[in-house]
Amino acid sequence: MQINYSSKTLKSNPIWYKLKQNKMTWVGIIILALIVLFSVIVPLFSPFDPNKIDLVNKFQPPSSQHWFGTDEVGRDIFTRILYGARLSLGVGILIIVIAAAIGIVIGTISGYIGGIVDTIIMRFVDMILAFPNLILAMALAAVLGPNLQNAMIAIAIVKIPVYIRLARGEAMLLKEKLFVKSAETFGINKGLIIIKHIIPNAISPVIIQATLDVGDTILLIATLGFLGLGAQPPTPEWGAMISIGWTYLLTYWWYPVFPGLFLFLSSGALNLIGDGIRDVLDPKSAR
Amino acid sequence: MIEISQLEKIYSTGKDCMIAVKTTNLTIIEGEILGIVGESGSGKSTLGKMIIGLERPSNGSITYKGHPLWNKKKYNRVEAGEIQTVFQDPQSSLDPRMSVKDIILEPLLALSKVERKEKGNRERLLQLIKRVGLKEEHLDRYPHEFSGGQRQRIAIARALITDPSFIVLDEPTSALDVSVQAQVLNLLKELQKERNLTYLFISHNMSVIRYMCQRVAVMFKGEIVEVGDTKEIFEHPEHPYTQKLLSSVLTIQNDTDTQSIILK
Repeated sequence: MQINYSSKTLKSNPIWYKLKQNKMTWVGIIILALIVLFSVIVPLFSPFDPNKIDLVNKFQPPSSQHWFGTDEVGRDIFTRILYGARLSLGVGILIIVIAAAIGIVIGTISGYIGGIVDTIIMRFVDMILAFPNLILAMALAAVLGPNLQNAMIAIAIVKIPVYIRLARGEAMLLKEKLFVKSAETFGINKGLIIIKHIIPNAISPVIIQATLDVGDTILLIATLGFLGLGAQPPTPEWGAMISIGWTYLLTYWWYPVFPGLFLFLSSGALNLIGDGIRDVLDPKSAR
Repeated sequence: MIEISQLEKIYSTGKDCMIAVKTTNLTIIEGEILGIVGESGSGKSTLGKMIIGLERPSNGSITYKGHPLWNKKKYNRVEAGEIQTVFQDPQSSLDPRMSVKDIILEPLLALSKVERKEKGNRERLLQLIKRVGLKEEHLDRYPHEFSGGQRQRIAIARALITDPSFIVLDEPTSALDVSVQAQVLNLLKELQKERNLTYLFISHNMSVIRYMCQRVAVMFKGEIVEVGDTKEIFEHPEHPYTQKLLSSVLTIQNDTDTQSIILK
């Protein structure tokens, strides 16, 4: 009998094996994949324009034509939710990618260089972390002016410190590793050491944190939208839809409920995926 | 080649201070293998680290071919790539996220562009890895795919890529098992002759020192208690600590009474 352990299977197997074991992660992946798929192909099967006003058909209950009913100006809610998914998921992922990228650069510099640079950066981080996420995001968005772009900037600023902290901690551990010390003996400059050694080795906890954060970010965008500080009508943004829809909850229940359901499903799915990725990448944090 | 005078390293935390290296004078002659031997905590590694710039001396000076290596608080690199190091533990001295090729070529990043091109060409790289006993197909792999001995060969190749003239070997074989140790030691010895290198060989193992070095410095509690030709020191140790070290060397004797086991 011959067993063929090629290096390729040995390398790729454990991750796939662990991911296969984790059923909840797959639930998350499937839900998210469906939402993404439908939001991409929505123009193909939906005859409705997400922003076209059709007052004759306002407040239609869910039916075979309008699956999730229509809103106060007769727009198809199902179509609007799917267009909103593009926005929410896209913006959520974009914010986290930007925040994580900035955070890992600042954090590794802070942790590796240390000294006065580290002290100054960390005091700024403490200042931001002292406020609750939502309150600070609201304040920043209000100061910058209520539109989607400013809401994104506000959320990114609120999210960056977490990544700085995380990357800084990793950098401080890595600084003492022999491979970093030996790179120092070559006479390579510090920036290059950060790029070549610190960032590649500090990146996996940051990725884990980032996947767990996307769901939270979508909620934050929706919250700001709900408060009127994010996307402005008529943009089909979930938070903004719920914000208008909740006043009709008792009479036209479908208006706020379906966007809320999608918000719940997508942020839940992203959290499940984040958990799964953490289990795969970080064997220390066994549940 | 290297002149160490009045060198001291004191670690202090608040009121407590620990003297790691006590006023040391030592000369390393070009082309020799100078051994430093001593028990753990005797300051031999600290001495090596001060030469390569990882620890700052508290007092005294180190000169390399006449140039001082330490200028107050700053390490003055004579010329990038002139002094290289092979560390004890090849497990942690190689970045797990870098391919073997990137690891070996890394020290070139400290050189000028022209030199980097000249020394980093593929032909030279292939020649070097073959010389240290690795194969071309190893270049794209990652450190975790190699055994300890192979990893140390990678570390040796990395130290040689810049054509250094002086290499600090900080217990290069202590983490390896005995049979692999011998191979790596032989490789280091051959390379030294071929390239006319100067080694500072730090070890706690007397038999390894005896095999490798022409001269030995014995360190005890941060002080060099004895320096001299290896032969001289092994045959007529003067300092009681050297005598004690020598008497504690494990020797492998060929005992005829025990049945030798023949593997079929």
